[in-house]
Amino acid sequence: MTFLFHIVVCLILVIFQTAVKPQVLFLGGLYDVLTAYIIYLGLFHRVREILPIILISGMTMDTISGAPMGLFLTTYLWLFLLTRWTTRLIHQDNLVLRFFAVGIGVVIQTGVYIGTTLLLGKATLFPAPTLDVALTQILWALGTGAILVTLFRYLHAIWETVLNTYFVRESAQRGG
Amino acid sequence: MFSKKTVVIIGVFFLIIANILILSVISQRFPTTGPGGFTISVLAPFQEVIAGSSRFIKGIWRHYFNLILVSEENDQLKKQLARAQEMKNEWVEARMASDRMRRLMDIGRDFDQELIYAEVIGRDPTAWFKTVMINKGHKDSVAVGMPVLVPEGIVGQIVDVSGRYAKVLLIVDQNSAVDALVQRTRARGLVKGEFADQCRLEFVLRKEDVQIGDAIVSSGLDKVFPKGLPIGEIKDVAAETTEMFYTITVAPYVDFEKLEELLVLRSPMDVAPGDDK
Repeated sequence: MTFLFHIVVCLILVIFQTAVKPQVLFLGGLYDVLTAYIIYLGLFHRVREILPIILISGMTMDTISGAPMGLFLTTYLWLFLLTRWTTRLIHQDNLVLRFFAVGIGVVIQTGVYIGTTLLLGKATLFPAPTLDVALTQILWALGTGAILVTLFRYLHAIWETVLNTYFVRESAQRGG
Repeated sequence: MFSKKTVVIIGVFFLIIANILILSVISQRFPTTGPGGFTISVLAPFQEVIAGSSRFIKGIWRHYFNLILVSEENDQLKKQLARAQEMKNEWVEARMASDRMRRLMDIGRDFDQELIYAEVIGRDPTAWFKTVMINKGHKDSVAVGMPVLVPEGIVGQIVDVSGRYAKVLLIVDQNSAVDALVQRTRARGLVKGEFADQCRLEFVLRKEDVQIGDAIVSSGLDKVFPKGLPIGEIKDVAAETTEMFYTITVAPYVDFEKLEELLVLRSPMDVAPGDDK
């Protein structure tokens, strides 16, 4: 059931990014919000529980994007592992971590994209618009990342509560 | 001397006359000072208060009902206005869609090959790559490699197809390349995508005559895009002393942010209309 929740959220985020975001002008500079979700997963969930979600999300993004195949998948995996590793050093409820986590994630993601593009020889070295876009995305991530992570956690908590209530009632009825 | 009845009649007659006289005198010369004036000044404030209160209550009552009626009327008018706005919006959208369709059909008439009309249904999830999803796929005979156009010029080419959908790589994506010519001088180069919805024209030798504002068209040599399709115009030309080629920036004619409908050309053709040089 938790798996279903994560898959549905990921799909909603992908649809939001491809169909809704382009229609809303002021969201033009928004970063890949799946990054925020991956970081949330890394902060609050176990590796074996979440790995399939990361694989599915990464492959979905690779399929619908014009990115070189595997770029999103690789980036998400690295982000997830880095987040997991960070939680060994800093507690996941640390406010500073939560505030900067998504921003740092977007910096890493942007670095991977630009690095890959440069390695493949597809672009000139850091044209000015690239830096503008990168900076805008990082600012968006710093402004909204912590809110999104908190929101995801809150939604998941609601889901768990509803699920537990339902199943407890069901099993109680069966037992009674 | 007189009977009792006569006395009563005469008495009543004089009483009526006297009453009329008194009434006429009093009504003409009623004093506003003295006891009459005192009475008025005592009673009038009360009358004023009561009359005022009565008017106030009547006013509230009347206005309350009026307000209800006005409020209901206002709600109805608002609904009518909203409906009218919605209809106007639908009409404007329909007219604009019709204009766009007409323009698409106009360019469709110039080609021998079949053109497949498609709508953009999604865009790339990140700002780093430039693709769009369209609502036509294998079932509509769309295949990988087919060129995609709009009346303004080349949009890109199909890079991925599923049953009902396809992915279009825009010419502004860094992975895109189109063999092109400078329309005025026929200098040949390769239009490659660059960031911020613009392109570079690469491999144009410095001996060639190239100027800002020159139109760039497809050469047809890449066997993907028909020859002579508009791509964009030269925005900037730089000649580095150590380089063999110009560094040319091209502004595409197509506004990729506003792409809604487009045409997929079922198979590449050799010569596009209006370019027989």
